[in-house]
Amino acid sequence: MAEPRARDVLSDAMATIRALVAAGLANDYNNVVSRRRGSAESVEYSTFTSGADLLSDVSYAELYESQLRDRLYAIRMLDGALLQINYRFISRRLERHRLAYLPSPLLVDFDDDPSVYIADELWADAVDHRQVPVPIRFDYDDRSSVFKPGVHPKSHVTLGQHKNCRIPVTAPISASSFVGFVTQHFYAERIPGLQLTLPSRPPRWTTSIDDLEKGMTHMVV
Amino acid sequence: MGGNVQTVTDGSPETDKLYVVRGTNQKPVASDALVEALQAIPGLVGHLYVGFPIGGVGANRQPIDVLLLSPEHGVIIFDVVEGTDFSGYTERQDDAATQMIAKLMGYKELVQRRKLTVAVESLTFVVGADASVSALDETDRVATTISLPSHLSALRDPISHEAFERAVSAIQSLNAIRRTRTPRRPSKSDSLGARLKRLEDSIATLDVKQGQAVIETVEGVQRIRGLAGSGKTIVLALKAAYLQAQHPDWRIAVTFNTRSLKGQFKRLINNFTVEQLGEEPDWENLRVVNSWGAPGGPDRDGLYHEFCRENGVEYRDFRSAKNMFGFEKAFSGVCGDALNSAPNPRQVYDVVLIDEAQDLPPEFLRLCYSMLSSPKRLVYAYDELQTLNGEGMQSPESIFGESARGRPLVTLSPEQDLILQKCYRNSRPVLSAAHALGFGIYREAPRGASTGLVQMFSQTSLWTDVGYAPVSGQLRLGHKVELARTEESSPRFLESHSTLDSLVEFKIFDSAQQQNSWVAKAIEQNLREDELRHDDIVVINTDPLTTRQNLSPLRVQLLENGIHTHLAGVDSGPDTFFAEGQASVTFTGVYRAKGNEAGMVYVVNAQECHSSARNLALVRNRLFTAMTRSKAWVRVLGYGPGMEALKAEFDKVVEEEWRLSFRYPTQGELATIAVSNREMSKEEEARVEETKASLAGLIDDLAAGRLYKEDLGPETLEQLQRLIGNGQ
Repeated sequence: MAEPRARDVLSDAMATIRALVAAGLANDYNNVVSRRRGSAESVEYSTFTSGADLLSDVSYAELYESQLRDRLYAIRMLDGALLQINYRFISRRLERHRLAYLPSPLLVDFDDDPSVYIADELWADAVDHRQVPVPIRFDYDDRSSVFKPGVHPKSHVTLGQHKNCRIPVTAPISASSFVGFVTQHFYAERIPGLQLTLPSRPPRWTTSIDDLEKGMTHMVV
Repeated sequence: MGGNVQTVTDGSPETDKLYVVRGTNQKPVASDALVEALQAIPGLVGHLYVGFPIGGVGANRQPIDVLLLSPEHGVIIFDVVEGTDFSGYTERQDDAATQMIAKLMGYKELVQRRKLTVAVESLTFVVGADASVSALDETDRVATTISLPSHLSALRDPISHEAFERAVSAIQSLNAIRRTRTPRRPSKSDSLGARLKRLEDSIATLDVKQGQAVIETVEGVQRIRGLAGSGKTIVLALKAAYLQAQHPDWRIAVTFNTRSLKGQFKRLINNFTVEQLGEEPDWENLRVVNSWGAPGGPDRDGLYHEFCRENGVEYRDFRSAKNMFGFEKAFSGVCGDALNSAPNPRQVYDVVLIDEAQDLPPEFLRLCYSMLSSPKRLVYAYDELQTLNGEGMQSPESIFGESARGRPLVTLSPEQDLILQKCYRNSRPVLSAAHALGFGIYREAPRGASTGLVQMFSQTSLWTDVGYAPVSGQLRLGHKVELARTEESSPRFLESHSTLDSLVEFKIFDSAQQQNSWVAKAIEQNLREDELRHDDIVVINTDPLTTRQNLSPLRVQLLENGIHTHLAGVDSGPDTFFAEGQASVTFTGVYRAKGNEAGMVYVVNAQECHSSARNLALVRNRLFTAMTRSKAWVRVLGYGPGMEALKAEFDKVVEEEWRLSFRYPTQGELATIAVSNREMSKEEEARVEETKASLAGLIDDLAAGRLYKEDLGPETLEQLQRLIGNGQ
């Protein structure tokens, strides 16, 4: 099976955005575009600038606010959560990706504003105080300088911005699969009658997981 | 001196007499005398501002005591002297004139070949005539009550109406205040974009009423009523800024219901203060805050939250308020509770200004009242017709209640009760159509009902209050009447940019898909050919429950055509109804659209507004709100029999040439209408359903002989007969 190319990933991302808009989940979005820099080709949300994803020493709330303000996302979900999509190809091979889900830390605060409920009744009963918003990142990095079996898997998922949380994942993941994962676990039950039609044949990569990591608890995509 | 280009003016600013707008300055007695003296001069027309905050830039600010703007004289700045010592007058006169000239020179429209097209003069006014005055001659420009008329004649320097209008606009600095988005540069002279530009350029001055509402300070409660689009928000913002300029040590709060107003208020206040005073507002003393509020910093604060904090009362968020008092009465419940828990609340504000008071419960207004020190300067503004339910808002007597001695705490004198009749947003056709549909004026009477009306003012005078006049018949209960908007209340320039039949259009489609395709094409044309910008267009779905599913397919169509859209939703911050800085068309449910306006409004799935098993008033109100978002054009679209019936009502409006022709209901009919179409809360609805169901069961049992009426017991039977028997 030929490995997915930039254009496959691009059309998958665009179809995903379209699906989210059609389902009424996306309040706003930025187009996903392909950009060439030398032998590298990136597929990223149009407002991305390098350095944009440097997670420096700020609180999550501050991070979220600044990403929101600068429109650093592909999708803004109906509850304020941000979805970020970045792929980088070198000589037609996937070198890295970052797919991030950044929930709004303000979610629980809708309570002080009743007009919010009146304006969007669908949402009124969907806000649940028992939930904790957790940022999730699916990262892939092929470079030998970065990869360390068991410690820094090529494909991994990070929960809650914990620096050393790198749960091994079997392979790189497509934008549509990532979005399907997020919507299934964090939105489907909150929104009755949700119909999300993601691409039926998303790009798939060959397994990249190391044998050592296969023996650990890991996620299969 | 004078302008040379003829532009179409809208008849404002008013120049038929001398209009006085009374603010406050440091010389009340002498100023009053001056005003009186000026009013006594025959033929003197124009605008007279007492204490309007105009200053130079920065530290050299000199307040202007009294300012006369007259077509015969241009600008005359009065240096008012309380008492008899007028020494130093030349310096004061020169400073004031220089500052004013410098300010006006900044307005290109007032400058021709480096000279102002409007004369600027200073005149000192001394009340007490004494020998030292008579020793002066006319060139010294010191006038007394007696010599005032001759001084004024000497200063005659007529200017064109256009220059006058521009001067008023410059002085009020409204252009600067309103300037928020990038200027338009249409290339075709008659595109929709060009027409919008002309429209926006005309609305550049406060009318006298608005000016009065801004500047006139009343000791006590003040109520400002008006239609949506009558400029209430601007008036409140300017008023807040003005009060701070006059009283920098006062604690002032501005509050509202809809979050998106916060950004608007801050921007208007900031622009005005910077423009007029050359510095930023003091946000410590002038707070723009939410009504409810929450813990977590000044940005999330609100007046209710502050009350709780200041008085050690338990604060409740919406969730717990909902659990305690129900969805509808959540806010009123917690405010009432808080008031009861704090019998002697701390009075932390000198002025509180409330916008959208019709959407806030009376308990909240009372709460604000209690946070004010004497003389309780509470200014509340509301939309007379936002709810259309015939009651308008409660009277101040009933909102604020009574004192311990049983006397109403608040009664409004005429100066305290301002009505802004002019609607600056909607043209006559748009507003008349919206009213006709909102009230169901041309709706067919359902079987068994004597009228098709959905709601109606129980006080006929409300119609004139909001700018209608009877053209024929009588505006009385039980009588036929024909109402039309006056030219005064609906300036014609709002409609003259386009043909009447293109302002409001109703279209019926065969299906949602057909409707969506049409809208998508129309929007594309708006953007690609009509020179409209993305933020000139708003697409509204009136039913909150169907908004997302109705609007999504249309958004997808536009996405596929490369047109960016966003859905204004719960996550939108205060300022993000329009995606500022983005070329994106706004899609929204009707409630989130409140307080916003756009040149081109598409109301989709309007068939959802034609009728409803209950809550008919509610759905018609939604249609009214949606239609009145438009600054210029409205397209009401839908499909199905409901839409056909709605269009039939609209066609009648056009046939009647935008007049409302109907028989005013009788007292009895008013009561019936109010009851059968009333807005019901979800809880009420549920209860009604339940009761209906069990009654149906009872009827069934009686009919089938499973139950006999004797089983119900004589008392119950009697009560039932009484309640139902007389058709009450």
